[in-house]
Amino acid sequence: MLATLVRRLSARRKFWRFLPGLVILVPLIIVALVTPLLPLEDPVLPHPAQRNKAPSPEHVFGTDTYGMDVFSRVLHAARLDFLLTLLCVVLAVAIGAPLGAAAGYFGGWLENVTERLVEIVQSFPIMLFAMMIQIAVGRSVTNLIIVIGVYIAPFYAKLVRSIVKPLRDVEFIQAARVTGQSSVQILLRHLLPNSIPPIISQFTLSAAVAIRTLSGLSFLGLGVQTPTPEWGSMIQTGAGWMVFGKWWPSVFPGLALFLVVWGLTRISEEIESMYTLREE
Amino acid sequence: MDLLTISDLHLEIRRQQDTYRILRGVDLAVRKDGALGIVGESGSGKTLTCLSILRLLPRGSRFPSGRIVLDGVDLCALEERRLREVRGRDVCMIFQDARASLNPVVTVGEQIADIHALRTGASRAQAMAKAVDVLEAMGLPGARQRIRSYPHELSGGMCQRVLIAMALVSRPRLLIADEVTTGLDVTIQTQVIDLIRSVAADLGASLIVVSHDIAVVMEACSDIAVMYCGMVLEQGNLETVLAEPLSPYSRALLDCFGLGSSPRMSCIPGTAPDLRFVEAGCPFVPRCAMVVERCRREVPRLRPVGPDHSVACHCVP
Repeated sequence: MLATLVRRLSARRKFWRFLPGLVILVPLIIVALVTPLLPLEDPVLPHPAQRNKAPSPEHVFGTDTYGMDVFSRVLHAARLDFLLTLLCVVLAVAIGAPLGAAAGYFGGWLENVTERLVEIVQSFPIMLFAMMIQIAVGRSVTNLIIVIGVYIAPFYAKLVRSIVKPLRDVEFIQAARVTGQSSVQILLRHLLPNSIPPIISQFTLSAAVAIRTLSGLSFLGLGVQTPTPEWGSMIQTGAGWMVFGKWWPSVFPGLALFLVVWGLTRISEEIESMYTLREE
Repeated sequence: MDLLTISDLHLEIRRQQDTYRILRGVDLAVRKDGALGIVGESGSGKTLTCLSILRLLPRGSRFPSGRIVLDGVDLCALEERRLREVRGRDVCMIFQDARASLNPVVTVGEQIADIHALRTGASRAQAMAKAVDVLEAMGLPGARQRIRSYPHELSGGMCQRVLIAMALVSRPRLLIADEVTTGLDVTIQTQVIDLIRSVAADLGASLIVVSHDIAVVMEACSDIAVMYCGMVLEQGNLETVLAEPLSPYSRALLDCFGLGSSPRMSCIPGTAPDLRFVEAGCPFVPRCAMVVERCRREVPRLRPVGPDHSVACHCVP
């Protein structure tokens, strides 16, 4: 499947279209991976004597209100943010895809229940939804992942359902039934492979949504807490100092976040246009 | 000795307000090691008779009456779990559109291997090796490379061979070929039919060939059943029926193929009736040349008229 995708990409010389997104994302991901090996300052060690220092050769991105090095924190935050984003989206696929597949394949009450669940989740504003959950079951990073995963899952449920439903009565599924394969085998061996390319193309887009939500919640104090380095909470830490002209504690993590979201959106748009082109 | 007997099978499909009476008392018998050809116009219930055997019917279908007995087991009364064993293990069906019958995003090798693994519990590697073997047996050139192909990379005839290979690995006792040659090159048609026959012979399986092309049935089968409007109007030994068709409908159908008494090709006037509004009596009445009064009152049942030959018609003595 992946091999086919790569073949199609290179065959049509569409690779360059992904370049802007990749140029931004790939270095950031590499940096996030090697951060612990770099000679950086401790990202969570406060220096009360060095609070709110402007960018200088010593602290490239300056220091924040606790005297922690912003450069080191931005890089370390990339690690956490990428990891959490990945977990959120994987969780969303793990919840949404099977649910959508079952709903589309079996139909009937199962489909009705799934659709109503999807509508309920999507009708809540994410912030309200997150607050409710966090207050109900307690604040933790695990709960944050679950909240965002559950919030994104409906996208996948709808997507997979829309792929599986029209395939349900198609000849090759009928042929699979003739050979005595059970519903579960048909779902796993025949319908899931058909859903993978759209899931992949949706993946980057929902990663952008996830990281935005993640840092948004952390900004509001509902996600990752200071001093753990995370872009959203770092923006929050520096936000109050902006009016005093101390822009660096917020702007650098904000810029990093902006680049990642832009890169992910860019790539997802290109994937999407690739699929629409094929349909034409 | 019959492997499969269908007796007085009725099938209704309910769609919104309408009830379609698809089958109206089908009587069929398939002999062990025999090959039965089912011919008839589009919409005569050939395919749905076969799907009834597998109980893979559209939503809203039901059997008001009738029995489908496969080697002593009544398939109409079987629960879903047991039915799955029947499908593939006992009965296997090959459909008209071979490419549509294959999953477009899974390689053909994997699709064959899946069935073999399901059937025998073989490992992945064994199943793939088996896939190569059967594809080679199907006469597919370069089978070792071909197993990595996706269905869209193969021609229609190749896809059909893949499907036959799948039937071969599932080792059924009854193989149903539904319009398998439609849409294939004439030269490929014969090859595909021969392949299906040899597979059935290898497995010792009985064969049902559904076709609206009598030539295909003549090539492949020893027996023939003529269906019209959800009924079997004539069944018997292929030579007997072709030499002496007794039902007016069979005669008219053979005339259409230029096989009847008339040297010119003819057609049957009128169209098959609407399956929603079926009147009493024989369904062929509006198009039949030799209607008697009884035809309008009573549905004819299939009855033997000679060794290996039965007809459903009031006019046949």
